[in-house]
Amino acid sequence: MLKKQWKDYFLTGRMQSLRPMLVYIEIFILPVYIRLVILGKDNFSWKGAIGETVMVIAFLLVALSEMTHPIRPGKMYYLCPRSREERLREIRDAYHFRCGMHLIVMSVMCGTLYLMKGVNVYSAGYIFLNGILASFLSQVSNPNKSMLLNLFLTPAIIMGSFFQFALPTEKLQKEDIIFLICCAVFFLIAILPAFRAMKKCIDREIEAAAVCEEVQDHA
Amino acid sequence: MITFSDVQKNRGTFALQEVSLEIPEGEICGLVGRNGAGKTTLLNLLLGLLQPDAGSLQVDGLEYDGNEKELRKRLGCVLVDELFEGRLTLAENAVYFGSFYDAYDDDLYRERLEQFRLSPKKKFKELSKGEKLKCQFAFALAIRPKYLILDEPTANFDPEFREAFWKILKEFIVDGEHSVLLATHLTEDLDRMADYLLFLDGGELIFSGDMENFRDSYRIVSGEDYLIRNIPEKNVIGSEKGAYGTKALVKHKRSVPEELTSVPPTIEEFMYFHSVGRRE
Repeated sequence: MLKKQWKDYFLTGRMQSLRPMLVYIEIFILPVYIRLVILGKDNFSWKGAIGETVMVIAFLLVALSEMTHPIRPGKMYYLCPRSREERLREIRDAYHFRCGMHLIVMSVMCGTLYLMKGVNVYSAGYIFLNGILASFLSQVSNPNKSMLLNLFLTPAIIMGSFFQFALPTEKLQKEDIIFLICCAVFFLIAILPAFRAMKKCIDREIEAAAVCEEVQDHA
Repeated sequence: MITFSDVQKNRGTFALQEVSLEIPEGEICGLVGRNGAGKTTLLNLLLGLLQPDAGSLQVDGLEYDGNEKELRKRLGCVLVDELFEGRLTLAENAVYFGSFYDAYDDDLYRERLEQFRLSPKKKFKELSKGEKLKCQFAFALAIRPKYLILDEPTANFDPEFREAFWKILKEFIVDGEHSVLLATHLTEDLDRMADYLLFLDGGELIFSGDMENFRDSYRIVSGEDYLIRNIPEKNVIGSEKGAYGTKALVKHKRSVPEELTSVPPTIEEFMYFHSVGRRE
């Protein structure tokens, strides 16, 4: 079962949807990365730089996976002999398999970060929480609401995680604790509700993807 | 047998109007009509990519509602859209999509690819338009369907391959149990090869029947204009006045005066006169 999922994952990736990811990299990730690694940090350390690079790679891998594996399969899949229930099950399984893979990548990344002492335990926790949310995002075909949510969520998650590197790895100062509280509040009032809305979009997309697009449009 | 019963479908400003037809087994059925006549809509309905607004369609008595899996096993298709995954090779595509079909025959697929001079190691996206259609045609044959549904593939085939293509279709239907539904604008080929004809115009099914019936039911007549004007108007589908006389498409050969030259119409003539109506 897992072997088939693994094989299908690599067979069905569609590289044509990479453009949004390049936009993310250019607008959000690179400037933050450059600021943190090269310019911004007075106390530059190789361990911190490697930790941040590991995080960049992890988020990029997950974003790449999400953008090349939209929930809705190609037209040919709908022409194959499958009942609606089978399609629904397969599409849902494939989505969960992807989420599982993303979670493994994010866990490895957070573990590496913490073991290298690139971040303190609170930051690692916050980054991991963001990593969990990022793992469940996916490309949906509804171009309006989901696009807006995606445009907000992905950079918010990635940038929020990056800023955790500004915190010292040793003892937290008062302003660091205030920063952490601000992050937690931002997470609770902005990221979490946006993620819930996005997850609802994804669930609806999975349901809708069980039937061909044209049929769904009509329905 | 494929059966449409009063099938209706509205798509924006276009409407397929209460189409009822039967496609018998063992025949090559040509589906013709102008651009926007409803050919692709009809094929998409048959392939379950669209749902009818009203009416029903059945394939061997099976409907999509409840028997989708069984029904789809019977249909192989070649569409203008690129159905295969572009970054995979022809072999990988077939292995992936073939796994959904019980009857998929990889040897047959490779045999057809070789016949069509396509390398299974080549990536799908690297093929030309015609080659992509050939590859999809090879796959459609390899799943051993009962019905082949083909949406205008012939226009992209080279003349040499077109001959091979028709030969394969003839072999496909030879047992009398398989059928082909082919939408095309290349009506000359259909004149030679098709056994059955469906003609759509503006979403309306104008003609549905075998080619013998088609050739018996209509005539292209030419001669003096006054003689053609004498034919009862209800029998004249379309006419065109030229420098040396008038030419018309008429129903029933019995209604044609003996002084006029009368020949069975080609599909192209039928479509042409149907669209022009009466023209002075």
